[in-house]
Amino acid sequence: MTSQTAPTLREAIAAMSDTVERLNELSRAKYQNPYEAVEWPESVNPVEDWFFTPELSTLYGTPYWQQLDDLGQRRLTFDEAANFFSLNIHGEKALMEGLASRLYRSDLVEIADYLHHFLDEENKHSVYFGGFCRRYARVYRSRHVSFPRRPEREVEDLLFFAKVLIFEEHADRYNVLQAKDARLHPLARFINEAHHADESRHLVFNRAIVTAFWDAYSPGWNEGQREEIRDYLGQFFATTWREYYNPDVYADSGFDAPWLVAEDAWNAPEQRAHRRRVSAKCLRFFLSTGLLLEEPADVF
Amino acid sequence: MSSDDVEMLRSWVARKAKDLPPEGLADDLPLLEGRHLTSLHIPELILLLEGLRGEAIDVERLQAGDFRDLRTIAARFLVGGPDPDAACAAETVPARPRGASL
Repeated sequence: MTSQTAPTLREAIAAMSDTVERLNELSRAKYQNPYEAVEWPESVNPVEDWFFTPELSTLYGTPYWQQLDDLGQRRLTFDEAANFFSLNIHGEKALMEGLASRLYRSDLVEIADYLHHFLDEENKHSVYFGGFCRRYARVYRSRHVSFPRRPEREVEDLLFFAKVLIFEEHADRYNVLQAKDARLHPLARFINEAHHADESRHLVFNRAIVTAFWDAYSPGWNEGQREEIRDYLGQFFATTWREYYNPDVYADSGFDAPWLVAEDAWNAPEQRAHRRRVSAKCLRFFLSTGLLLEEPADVF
Repeated sequence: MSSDDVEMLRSWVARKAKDLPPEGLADDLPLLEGRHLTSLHIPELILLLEGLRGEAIDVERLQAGDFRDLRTIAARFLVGGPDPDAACAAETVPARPRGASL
């Protein structure tokens, strides 16, 4: 295979070097100390203030939302804020592991400086998310189970950054909307804004590195391998969205059948439409690159 | 646990699994090892199992082997009564910690 038909990984990464250097400069300029950037209130009141945009609630638009009075809606969305922060904690934990394992790998050494920033910024985000959950709520558990890694490093690299891209693009949409939602408690707005400030750079990097891996490796894969990758990414859309519909949250908010609530909310037409709106930008990216050929089934 | 629960489990796996053999979904078909399911299916599967059991599963204690095949999953999570790990899971997550006032 020649460089005219498909770039090598080295060539693909070299092609994104200007972008990466710009991101490095921005990360250095916007470096933040998470222990000084926020003053944590002694306590917060989950039924007095909003901590999560009500229209982003997983029950919004479903009959369950109408069953709740104003206090109940605030209570539910407070728990959903904690769940949103928790799923970010779990996602960032896996992300930090993946970034650390790729630091100074010989074929990725040209992006090592940015991996340092990425890792540093993810750790800071978890300080914010963990700070909120441990002070005022709880860290909701993840239902992910650790499995041995895939043997094919090229596939593993692509899937790792593609999953990061999907996860971060969804979370960033929530961050953007909530950072400017004047109804929310200032602490909730701050955490969302601080997360978005760094994520906007990560999103650029994610798209560049996923494109580099796909362009360099996919021409060498057969159709069966590409189909397996597409199936896996399609399932990731379902898996990552499912985490927002957490029965533990519904139980904390007083629902007697929390797993039924989760299933009903997942299947509600209004929620399917919501997921489609939030996923629209990153779906366009996956469809335009050829990483996906169609929308994932059972998600939207 | 009821046979209905096992059938719901079987139906879910049959719907999600890729490339099932012509003879269908046998109780001992290796689901992960055979790449019929991936690790990404597990969180959704745990949600299903928790809903059928009506109680949480302590995910931190799980291993890939717990999801080896249908028979293993049913025996581990649906047959034989409550999972002793579940109580542990409930005890390790405080319902409402110190800073949240009501």
